[in-house]
Amino acid sequence: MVSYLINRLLHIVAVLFGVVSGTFVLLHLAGDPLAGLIPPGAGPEVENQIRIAYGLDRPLPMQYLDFVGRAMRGDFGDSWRQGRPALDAVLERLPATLMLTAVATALAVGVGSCLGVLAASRPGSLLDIGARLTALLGQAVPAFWLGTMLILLFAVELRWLPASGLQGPGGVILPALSLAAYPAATLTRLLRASMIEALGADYIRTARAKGLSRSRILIGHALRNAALPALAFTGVQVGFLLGGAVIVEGVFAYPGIGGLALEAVAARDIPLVEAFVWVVAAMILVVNALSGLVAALLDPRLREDGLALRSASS
Amino acid sequence: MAPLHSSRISRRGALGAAGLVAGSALLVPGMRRAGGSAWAHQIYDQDLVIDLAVEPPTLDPALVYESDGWSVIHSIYDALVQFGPDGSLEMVLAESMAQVDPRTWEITLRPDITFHNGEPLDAAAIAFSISHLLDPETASQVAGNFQVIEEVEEVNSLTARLHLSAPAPWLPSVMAPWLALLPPVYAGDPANEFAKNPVGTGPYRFVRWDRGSRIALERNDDYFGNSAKGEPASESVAFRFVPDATTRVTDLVSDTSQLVRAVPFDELETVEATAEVVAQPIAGCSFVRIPTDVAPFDNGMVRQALNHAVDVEAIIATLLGGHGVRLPNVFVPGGLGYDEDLSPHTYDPELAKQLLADAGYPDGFNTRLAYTTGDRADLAAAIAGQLGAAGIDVELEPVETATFNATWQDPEAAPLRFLTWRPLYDPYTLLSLVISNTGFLSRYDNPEAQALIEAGAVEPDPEERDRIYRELGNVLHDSPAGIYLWSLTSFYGVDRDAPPWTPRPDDWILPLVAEGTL
Repeated sequence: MVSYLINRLLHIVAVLFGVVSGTFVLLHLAGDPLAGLIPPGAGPEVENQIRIAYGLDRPLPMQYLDFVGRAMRGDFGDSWRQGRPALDAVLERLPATLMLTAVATALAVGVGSCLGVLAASRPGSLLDIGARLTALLGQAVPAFWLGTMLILLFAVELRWLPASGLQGPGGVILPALSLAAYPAATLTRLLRASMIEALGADYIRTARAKGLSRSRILIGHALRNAALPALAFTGVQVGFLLGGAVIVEGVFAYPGIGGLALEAVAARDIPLVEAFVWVVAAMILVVNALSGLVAALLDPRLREDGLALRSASS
Repeated sequence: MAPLHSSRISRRGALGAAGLVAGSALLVPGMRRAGGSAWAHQIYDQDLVIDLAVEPPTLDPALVYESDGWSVIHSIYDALVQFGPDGSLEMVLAESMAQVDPRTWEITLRPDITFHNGEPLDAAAIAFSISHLLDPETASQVAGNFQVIEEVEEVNSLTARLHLSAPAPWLPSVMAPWLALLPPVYAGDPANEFAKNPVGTGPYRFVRWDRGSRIALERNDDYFGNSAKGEPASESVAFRFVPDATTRVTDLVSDTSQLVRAVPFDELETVEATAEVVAQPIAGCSFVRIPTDVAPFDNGMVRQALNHAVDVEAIIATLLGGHGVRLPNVFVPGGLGYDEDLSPHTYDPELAKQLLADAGYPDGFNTRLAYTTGDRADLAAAIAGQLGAAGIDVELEPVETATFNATWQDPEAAPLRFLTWRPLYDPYTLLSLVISNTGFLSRYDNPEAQALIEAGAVEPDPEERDRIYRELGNVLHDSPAGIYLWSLTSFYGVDRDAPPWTPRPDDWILPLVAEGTL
């Protein structure tokens, strides 16, 4: 177990190093970092002043070494636009994103697993057809369109929820619904397929023969075996949501990190972009490690060798 | 279970169809059913909720460069001066501002004004605020505009003299947005982080800032009377930051907000069904910059042909809802240099073709037109289409703003670029940057225009300056620096129950009621 943890930690450090280096290279490939910083109309002397103030007058390898050294410790310097530590600006917006991710994931997992299990329990029934149709629709509808329709229905027509923003917990519901539609639909289809497969297996027949109740068989035996691919998908999806749902945040004026990242990229606020990428990468690594652990808890086969504790997704 | 699903599907489908085909038809009944604006008070404890598009990155006035940021800044702070609806200079914190000689300005402050923290407003605040703007540590993008100020001399507690290195009759036009006065003691202590916790003399006090979301303010009960800016319109205000225009409209019709910025043109009807649309003329203009440093645009006849080829009136009527004045050059109504008697170029595609033939381009030519991704693509497309009809084949290039701003003088970039410039009470910055041959954004060079630009930049007498700019306007009309288009209009959406509020020609949304506007 200790060697597993050490291995995992080295893995995380290596990936973060790669992410930090990759961001640096990409941002400097994207053109003069000063493009968004030099005022239209600033003279060459102002430009030089700004270049020196931000350390952009040094040779690129120097900038890289200095940057990587600080970035690996979580120090990205001050945001160029906000004039305060870039990491603070990102962390400040993180709670809203975490809340949105948590609610959307809970909704997706709740609805997806109920529909998937119910559909699989009676394949070919009206219930099954209904669940599959809903899933198809959930996968096909784009989140921004669904978001707009939810606003029209719940904010404009019914006035149950605010149209945008996050003042009080009500503000998280509509964006979470918009974001949950796709993963809920995918989970429904994944679970339905793997449940149907599991329900045809020998051990289910054995369980029936033992006289176990229908729900025991469905949940305790079939679902536990069928859940692995769904779990892997959920892990990936959580990582995706943590990266900031840029479009849905835009539709709902939701104060998560996606909108911040978009502004930072548009303004070429390099420290802020770097801090954002670093935070998201770190969170995704943590989520991957966690989903690996949960997979191992569910499936004893994955526990035999410590190093095999990896989710099916990675 | 199955019927439930199908009914939900059809409901969604119906909403979708209605939303796509006629959004307004769907919005109207909802509004009528619910009515009132109690909603805003359920979510906000503020009396007035305003949706802006862009969140200011900081509340340091030296680091804010656009109208949404200024809306917040000038609610909390005051500048010395502002420009009124007719373009005239109005005193705010200054009681008087006079040129003692072309290189010396004397500013006298209104007496008995205090900052929100109790600090008195005195001449030290002027000196401090200017040195803060000029400080390289501040890294203000507009420091260059204030570098002409060599020394601030505190004559007495309420009077300061600015000693300039050169005459700068345009100084008030850069003071109005950027020289908001800071409290020297409070702002001078870095521990206070005034850019996060601003203290000004303005009509509202800062309460809190939820980043990414909103800034809350409360009325400053001690705000001085007879401010040219007006009186606070509300006990408390929340500025929200909503980048998506459609979301701002739904905020308004669902009573989440009472006043929203920049209603998109195609949603004016939706808004008008339930709320009011205020169309406010803005002191600014749009034009397509034409360079003179590259063929075929070095030929004046080609530049004139471009102006005759675009039916600006038709674009105003169809794509701008009839709002805006067609312009003969870059000067705008209410600003210096505007000449009502100077006619814009006629729309005459045949003349345009003739001019192109005379210039040696009987078959027209190919070129490129850049615009930023924040601009309306349909306007650029309309201009390109009309140029195409005259034989000029235009390739459109939408460009991200940062790239656009980095390529003003790039010979590889599209020669034509769609610009919007404001405010233009004083055309000094536009002329010195975009049209002067020394401007860092300029690819225009015309000796006759250059002499007038340089004369206008230092002429102390306002009437003489206006005359110089009118003359320059004639030169720019005959030897175009652009395809001249229209004066700007802003569309605000306002809830019918919103407190009274005065729209401004500088496009700042200040929750204030100005005297004589009700």
